[in-house]
Order: sequence, then structure tokens, then C-alpha cells
Amino acid sequence: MKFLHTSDWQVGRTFGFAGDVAQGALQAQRVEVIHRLGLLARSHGVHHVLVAGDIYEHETPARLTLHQPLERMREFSDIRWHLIPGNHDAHTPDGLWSRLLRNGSLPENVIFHGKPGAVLIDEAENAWLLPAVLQRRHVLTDLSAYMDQETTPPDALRIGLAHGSVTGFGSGGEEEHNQLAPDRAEKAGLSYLALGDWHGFNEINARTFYSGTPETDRFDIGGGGGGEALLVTIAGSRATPQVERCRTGHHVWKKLGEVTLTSHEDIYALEARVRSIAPEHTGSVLAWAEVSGLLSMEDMALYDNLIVHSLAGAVTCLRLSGEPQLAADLDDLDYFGEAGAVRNAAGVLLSKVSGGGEEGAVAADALQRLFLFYKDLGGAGT
Amino acid sequence: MILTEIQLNGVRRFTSPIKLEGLGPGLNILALPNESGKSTLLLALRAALMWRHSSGGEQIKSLASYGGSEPHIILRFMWGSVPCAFEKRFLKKKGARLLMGGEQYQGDEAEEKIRNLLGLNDLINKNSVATGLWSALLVPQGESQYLPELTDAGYTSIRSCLDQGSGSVAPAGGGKAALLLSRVREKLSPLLTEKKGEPTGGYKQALQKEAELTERFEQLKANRLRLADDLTALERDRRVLRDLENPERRAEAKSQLEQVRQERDRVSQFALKEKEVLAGVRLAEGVYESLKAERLRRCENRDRQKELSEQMQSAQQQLAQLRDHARHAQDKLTEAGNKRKKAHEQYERSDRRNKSITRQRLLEQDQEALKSDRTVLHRLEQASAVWRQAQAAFKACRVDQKAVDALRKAERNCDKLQLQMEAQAPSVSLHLLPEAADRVTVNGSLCSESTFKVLEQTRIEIEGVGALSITPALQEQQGAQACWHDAKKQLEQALQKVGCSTMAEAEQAFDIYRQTKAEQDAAQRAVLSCLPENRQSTDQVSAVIASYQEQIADKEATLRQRSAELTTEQATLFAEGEILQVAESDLEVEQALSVFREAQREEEDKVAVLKSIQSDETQKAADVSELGRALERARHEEETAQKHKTDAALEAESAQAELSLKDAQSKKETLAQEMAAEARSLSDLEGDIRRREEALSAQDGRIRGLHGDVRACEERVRQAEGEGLDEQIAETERLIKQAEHECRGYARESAALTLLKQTLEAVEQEQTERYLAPLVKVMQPAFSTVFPDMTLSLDASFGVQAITRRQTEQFSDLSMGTREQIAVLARLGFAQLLHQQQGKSLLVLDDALSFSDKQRRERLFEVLTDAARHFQILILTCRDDILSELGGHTLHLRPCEEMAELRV
Repeated sequence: MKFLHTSDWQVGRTFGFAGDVAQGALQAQRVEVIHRLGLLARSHGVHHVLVAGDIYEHETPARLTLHQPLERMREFSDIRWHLIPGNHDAHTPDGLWSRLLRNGSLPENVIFHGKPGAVLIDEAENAWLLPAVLQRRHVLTDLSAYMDQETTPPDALRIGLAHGSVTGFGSGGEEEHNQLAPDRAEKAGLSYLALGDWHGFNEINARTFYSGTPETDRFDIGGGGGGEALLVTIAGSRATPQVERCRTGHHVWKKLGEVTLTSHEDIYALEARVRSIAPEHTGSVLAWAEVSGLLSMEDMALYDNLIVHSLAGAVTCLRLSGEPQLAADLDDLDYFGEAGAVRNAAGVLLSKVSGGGEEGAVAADALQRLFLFYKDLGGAGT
Repeated sequence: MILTEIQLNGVRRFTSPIKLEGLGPGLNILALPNESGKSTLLLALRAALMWRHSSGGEQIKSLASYGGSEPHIILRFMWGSVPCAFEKRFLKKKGARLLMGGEQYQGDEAEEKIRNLLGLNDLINKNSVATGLWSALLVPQGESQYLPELTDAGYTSIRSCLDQGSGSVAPAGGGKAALLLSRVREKLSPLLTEKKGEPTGGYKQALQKEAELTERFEQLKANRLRLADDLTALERDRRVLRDLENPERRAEAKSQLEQVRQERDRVSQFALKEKEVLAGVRLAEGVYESLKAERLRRCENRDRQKELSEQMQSAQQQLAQLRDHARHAQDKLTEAGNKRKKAHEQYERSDRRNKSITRQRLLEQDQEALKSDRTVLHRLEQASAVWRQAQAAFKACRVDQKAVDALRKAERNCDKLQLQMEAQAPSVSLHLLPEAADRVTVNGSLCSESTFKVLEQTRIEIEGVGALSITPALQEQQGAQACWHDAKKQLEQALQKVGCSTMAEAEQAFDIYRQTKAEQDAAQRAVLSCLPENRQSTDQVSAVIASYQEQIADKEATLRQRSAELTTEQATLFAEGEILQVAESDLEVEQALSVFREAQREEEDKVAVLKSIQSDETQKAADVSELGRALERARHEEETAQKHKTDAALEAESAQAELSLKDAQSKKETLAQEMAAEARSLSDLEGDIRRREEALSAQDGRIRGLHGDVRACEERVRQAEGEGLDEQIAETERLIKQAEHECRGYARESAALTLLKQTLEAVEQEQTERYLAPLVKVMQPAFSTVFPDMTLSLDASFGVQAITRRQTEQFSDLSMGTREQIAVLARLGFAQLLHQQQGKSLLVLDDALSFSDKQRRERLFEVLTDAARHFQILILTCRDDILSELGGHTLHLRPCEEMAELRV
């Protein structure tokens, strides 16, 4: 039997650092990736896609957000999409799943598993799905524990589907909740345990995998980095599953770390580095650089022009933390001529820059602008 | 350059030639009414100097006269010492001609020459109008209150002047600084308002957006909290509802209620039975107790009869004893009564004796008083007699005070006249030897004096010698003697009147008078002392004496009567010869009274003892009677009871009632044991049933309420879930971050641009001030004349930025009049600068200073007059009074037949 394992779509996710355009693009791709998953399944002759929770980002998504993924799945009527709730979209009373079920909004090919218990999903393959259902955002018990005792016909293909943590990843108190036994597959006689919650691919053991999110949604993902789905092939109930990682993501997220700029060469190097992340499609890149350093007035102008304006337009999002500081001395003032009002003004500003502090920072900005305006007017030569 | 004449024709209102006469160096004034063509004249001057003749723009066309003739202007002036004439025609007959000394220039050559002269070279704008500083010096009507708006040519002209001046250095890069400043302002104006520096445009919108988003975020969070509360409440209500609507639980509750009801019914049967048993017990107890009481009553009655009989017997014995005591007490009382009567009689006799003695004492006292009255009367009568004698003696005295005074006066008068007479009489002095003293006589008397007056014929006899007769000159003394004789006669008459012959006798009589008067007064005082105080008058003496005599007679009669009565009384009360003193009598009365009172008390004691015995006797008799009646009633009661029911029958009934009571109590105990076997009382059960029924009813109500709550909650949840609150919150949060970022960017940009602007302004101002110092120096004296103690500040565009008097005031904040004065002074400054640096200048003011008060105007005229010593100034005005205030050349605008031929 073949099926596709995915999770953590988190449709409706908001990206605080992104501008309106980037936000729109990122959100759109979180929906479009469902279409790519359907195409992937169809291309491999797969009829079942197991989604291990966190289909939605929010407990109360907007109507449009609620229906967008369902409509994408409806497009693939030959594929059955098996969904379970995650911690972001737990199956609470009057939660979003109750809302969809109450309104009959789920397409026929979309099966929501709202109760634990073995469900026959493929009669021909004698394949049974054992979903673990989160009815609260956080639970302290292992919801997959019931699988140990859940009976299925002999030689049935027992496939577990759960959302939670097995290795203590995540931050803070998250790891205290929704715990899953790492050896659940072995204990419950599962052929495969499809897990969600981890946004990067992760192999726990030969039968237990995190697929990761199909569309990367953060710079620090860990694991395989996200943007993937798993194509799982199981030859028999006792056979070891064959897992193939398939690329599904559109955007490429890259954290560049600390970047120190001290000259125009550094600026050009930063530009080249960003452009090399996805040379064939720079527009899909999201890059994050923590910028610092000291630049001359001319290099500051170059930085503004090349990085802040040009490069930011080339990628989906260029996130710049920090900025280079203006490094100017009396020699730099010669740019404004040997004497005159502008030169004097620049001198006054430079002395304030030297004073440091908040006033110094404002003076640096003012000096930088004086440089740019002066340059626009043709500099000292005109 | 000194204008000497202006001719024009075909310029606006001037459709025929006209000429301005009287022009000369210094101050020139043309005073004409409104609508006389002053402004047209200035326009023609500006056109001649600054407009190209070849130009055909609208401005030139507007110069044409209303009659259709074409503009034709001729200026005559002195350039230094060279006479010049400049002619200009516009439109169809356009042309220019300049005669300068012996040289002549035509067309454009003439234009270029005049521009060269005036410094207007290369300053021709696209409208072919030469501008430069001259446009600021030829000031049309209505522009004098504004600072001159200099064109680039104007600036260049001033800079040129300044550069030629004292070597001040034009600010290097000043132009670029201005451009930079302009750029900064341009960049800053969309961010901050110019006046207050408050955010505007995109910055303001970003701040507003941030605030709106924050508000929306808080609202969304509140909505989300409400949704969470609703979801919690919904879950809780549903759980409670499920619990309440559980059929098994409800059936069990109803079954329990039924059981309690059955138990209640069973217990209520016991209650009825208990009532019956208790009634039986109470009845049996009543009968038994009634019979028992009857038996007890009979026993008690018999005991009572016995007791009463004994008491009766005892009381009768006591009554007999009391009666004996009463008789004995009555005898004692009679005896005490007799004793008291005897003592009373003795007391009364003693009392009468005592009173008699007392009356005698009073009689004796009255008799003594009568004696005293008689003495008083006697003394009064004697005093009265003495007084009457003194009174008679006093009345007999003839020389009283008045009489003696008159006599003494008459005597003094007589003595006085005698002395006067003697003074006029001759005196005789005899000096006798001692042995001759008794041998000389004068008028028969021994001569005792050595010197004497001779008042009449005097005979001096000297024993042994003879006699000497002296006769005075009587005729000289007759008057004095007559007077003396009269006085003497009057004295003698007065003496006779009072019965005296000499003055000594009179004096003696007067002494007697005084003595008699003293005696009379003493006698009167003696009489008055004997009179009672209320009758202190000598007139009352007789009446008082009569009254005293009458009173004494009355008292004597009364005393005689009282004495007789007392004698009779004492004869009965006293033994013969018995004399009892008052003290003895008083003692006797007191002893008798004491004996009487003792007897009286003894009698009262006996009465009390008798009354007590009699009271006891009465009480005892009553007791005996009462005991008799009580004994009778008890006996009657027993007889009645026996008649009703004999003792035997009563005993039998009592035994039967005791048995019935024991039976009823046995039944009661049995029932109590049965009831005790039940767990709860009837009231408990009733309460339990009521509670259970109410609980079921309340449960139904709560179920209905919870259904309503759940429906309402579900409705709110459905509504809220459609809004996608979580997603909206996340999105709003993102937008807030974005807005904050945007605001920070704006703030940073604003701060940087503001600082840059301030820095550039400060630097430029500093440099401009340095550069403009020569211009300020030229202008300052004139300004100081009009505005004492004022400091001038120019801006980079040569405009007056501010003036500083007590404080700095911006030009725009000044009054219209002050602004006009400053604007005129600024133009004057430009003219002075032009004159100082290039030796050519002219200032024309059309209807200026219309907003200035007289004082300022006069100061300004002083300045203009002073400036006119260096270059020509033309004042065009509609006010005649200015002529007298300013002086200078008076100009006239006169028509002329035709434009004069151009010549110098």
C-alpha cells in the first residue's frame, strides 16, 4: 500500500515580520501546497493522504481560511484525505471541526477522524487507520496509548496517525503536553505511525516519522527544514515501510545569521549571498540577516541602494535586523568642499555623531541624508 | 542719474502729450488728486527703462492708451554732467533712441546702452522685461507696504554690489546650502507641520493607523475572551444539562419521592391512632384524678372540722378573759379622770391668781406713767411761763440792732462834722510850766491840754494872772457849726425816740436788748424741748398743755376704776395679808400645770389600755363568730357529699378508675413503641417530600433555563466563530508591528531631517549675517532714525526677517503701518547700496506711507530728505500736506501740444 504522509499545514498562519505583499504570498502558498500534494499523490498513484494534524493555524479561522484547504482537497476526488486535529485546531466542542461537521462542509473525499478507534480505510489492502484525536489544545495523557489494545483483523495493515511530541522538541512547556511514546509503533503493532507537530522531517524509528510541514513557515525549523511530504510504501503488515521524501514547498527560507558590513565589498558579498540562495528563482527566497558594522557615507548610500531597496525587491522577504552605523571623520567632510555652509553643517552634525547617544544616532541619520541630498544635487563639483 | 523731464503720449489715460516739469536733484514731489495719472506716469517710467521696445507681449499692449494711440515716452536726464535724452516707442511705431552728450544710439543699441548704464545687462527675462534691482526701486502704488520680491536678477544685483563692497566674502556653497535646505524642507513638509512640527501626512496617518489597530486589537482580544468564556460556559451548561436530563437519575428521584410519600402515609395512620390513645389516657386520668380529689377533699373537710372545733373552744375562753380585763381597765380610767379634774381646778386657780398679780403690776406701771405725764405737763407749763416773761421783757426793749445802728451812724456824722468844724477853728497852744498846771482854767475847767481849738468865745483864766478871752471869727465857722448843730440835734432826737439821753445810755440799752433776746431764745428752746416731736411749734404750746391735761385726767379715771376692780378680785383669791410675788405666782402656776398634765397623760394611758382590750375583745368575738360559721359550712359540706355519694361508693369508683387509667397508659406505651420503630417523624417526612418536589420542579426550571442559555451561547459562538477571531487577532498583531515599524521609520526620518534643517538654517543664517553685514550697515542708520533702538536682521534673500527692539519681532507679525515703513526703508537701503557701489540710483514711491502715523511719517521724511542729498527721489502722492511736510521740488504735470523733438 502507498499513501502520502503530511502534516502541519497551518493554513491561516500570520507572519509578523512580513509586509503585506510577503504575507499574502506566504499565505497563498500554504493553500497552494495542498494542490501540489494532490498532484504528487496522483502522480504516484496514491489514493490516501494522511494529514497528521494542525491543518489550521487558528482555532477560529475566518470563513475563507476555513474553506480554502477543503476546496483544494475537493479538487482531487480520486484521493481520500484523512485528517486528524492537532494542537492548533483541536477537536473541541464547538471548535472548528464541529463547525465544519455541523454545517456539512467537509467534501466526501475528506474524512475527519474525530474519535479514536480503528477505521478501515482500504478494504482491498486491509488497511486500518488508528487516529489519536486531540480534543484539547494540550493533554497530559498519551492519546496513542489506546492503539496498543485496539483490535483489528488478523494481518491488517495498522497505520497510526497522531499529533504530538515524542522527542521533547519545541519550546518551553510545549513538550510537557501531547506526549507520544516513541515506541508506540512497536507496542501497538503498527506498520507505520504518521506523526505531525514537527515542522521539519524527522525519523523517529523505522516505523515512526514526522513528515514536517509541506510549506516552510519559519527560519528556524530544525529537522529536515520543511517543505516536504513523505511518500510511504508498505509491502505488508510486518514489512518495514519505504519512506521517500518529496519536495513540495515553494518558498526557500534562509537565515544568514550575523552579517558585519565594513566596506562596499561586504555589501556586495551580502547581495551575492542572498541571490545565491535560489539563483533560479530569487523571488521565492525569504532571507534574514542580522546586520551590523560601520560604513562610510558613500557605503551607507550603497547599502541603502543595493540592499535595502534593490535586493529587498528581488526576494519575497528580506528581513534585516539591525543596521550598519555611519562611520565618518573629518576627512569625509572634504566631500562637501573645503569650506562653506554645507561643509560647516556637516561638521556640526559630525561633532554630534561623535557625542554618541540618541542625539548622535539622529545626527548620523541627518549626516547620511545630507550626504545623499548633496550627492543628488551633484556634489561639490557642481 | 538725475531725471529732468518726462514726456509721454498714448500711455493709458494720456491720449495726448503731457509733460512732467520741475524735476531736479534731490527730493521731487508730485501731488495730484486720485485718477490724475501718477501711477501711469510711473508705469511709463518703468516701461521706458526696463521694457524692450521690440517686445509685443500683453504687458506692452496693456500700456497703450484708451484712445488707441501708441505709447511714446521721452526721458531727459543728466548722467553725471552729461545731458541725456531717451525716447521710446512701443507697438507699431516701436523704436528706441538715446542721445547722450554728442552721441546718439538707436534701437537695440540704445536699449543695450541704457541697460549698461543702469546695470541691467543680461537681466532680461523671457518677457523681454529688464528686472534687476530697479524694479524694487520704482515702487508702484499698493506695493510699498510689502518687502520687495527680488528676482534672481535682483539678488545678483545686490550680490554684485556687496561683492564690490568692503571685501565681504559671499558664502561659499551658500547656494547649495539653500538648495539643500529647500530639499530638506521639501522632504520634511510631508512629515511634520511647518508651524508646530506635529506629524502630518503619511506620518500622521501611520500614527493614526497604529492607534486604530491597537484599539482594534484590544477589541478583538476582548471578543476572543468573550468567545472563550462562552465556549467554557457552553461546555459547562451542556454537562450540567446532560446530568440534569439523565432519565435514570430523574426516575430514581421520582421513585424516592414515592417511597417517602408511602412512608408519610403510614406514619400519618400512627398519628390518628396516637390521638385516640392519648384521648383515652387523658379521659381515664381525668376520672381517676377527679375521684381521688373528692376523697382527698372529704378527708380534708373532716380534719378541718376538728381543727375548727378546737379553735372555737380556745377563742371563747380568751374572749371571757378579755371582758374581765376590760372591766378592770374601766375602773382605772374613772379614777384617773377624777385625778385629772382636781389637778385642772388647782391649775385654773393658780392661773387666776397669777393673772391678778400681773394686772396689779400693770396698774402700778400705768400709775407711774401717769406721774411722768404730770411731770412733763408741769415742766411745760413752767417753761411756757418763763418764755412768756422773756418774751414780754424782749418786747419792752426799745434799742434794738436797727436803732443802735442808726444812732451810731448819727453819732459818727456828728463827730465828723465836729472835726470839720474844729479843723476850721483856730487852735490855741499853751505851754505851761508844771507848777502852773492847776492855776490855769479854760472856760472854768483846769487846762489839761496844751493845745485846743477855739470854737466859741473862750475864757482862759490864769490864777494869779488874770483872764484871757478869745473870740474866734465866727462868721467863718457858721456853716460848719450849723451842720454840726443839725447833726447833733438829729442825734439827740434819735436818742429821745428810744428813750435815751446819751449815746452811752443807748449802748447800755442795746446790751440789755441783746441779753433779753438770748433769754427769750433759751426759754423758747426749753418750751420746744417739752413739746412732742410732731408739734414742735410755740404756737402749739397752749393746745399741747390742754391736751396733756385732758389725757392725764382720763388716765386718772381709768386707773381708779382698775384699782377698785383689782381690789375686789384679790379679796377672793388671796388670803388676808397674803402677798405673793410674780415669780412665786409663776412657779405656782407652772407646778399646777405640770400636775395637771401628768394626770391628763395617766388618764390617756388608761383610755388606750381600755381601747386595746376592747378591740381585742371585739376581734376575738368576731373570730369566735367566724369559726362558728366555718364549722357550720364544713359540716354542711360533708352532709351534702354524703348525700350525693357515700364514702363506700366513692372508694369503689376510685378503684375502678385506677384500673381504667392503667389500661389506657398501657395502650399508649405500646403505640409509642410502635412509632419509635419508624425512622422519621411525619413532619420530617412532609418536609422531605416538599423538598424533593421542589427540587424536581427547580430542576425542570433549571433545565429550561439552561436550554435557553445554551441556545443563546451557541448563537453567540456561531456568530463569533464566523469572524475568525484568532486569525484577525494574529493579522492585527502583524499590522500593529508593521505600523510601529512604519512610525519608528517616520520618527527617525523626521528627527534626522529636522536636525539637518536646523543645522543648515543655523549655519546659513550665521554666514548670511556675515555676508549681509554691509547691507545692514547701509540700512541701519535709516532704520534707527525711524525706529530708535532697533536692530535689523536680514534673511538670506535680503528681506527683513525681523527687527529687535525690546524683543525680536518677526516681520509678518508687525502692524501694517510698521511693515510699510520697513518696506520703504528696505527699498531705500537698496537704492543707497546701488548709489554707493555704482554711483547710480533712483527711488520712486507712488502713494507710499498711507498707513503711517504723522510721527513716523515725519521721521521717514527726514530719512528721505537726507537720502535725497545723494540720489534723486520722486514721491508721487495724492496728499497736498506732504508737500509742506517734505519740501523739495514741486512737480507739475502739464499738457503740451506735441511731444518735443528729441534733443539734449
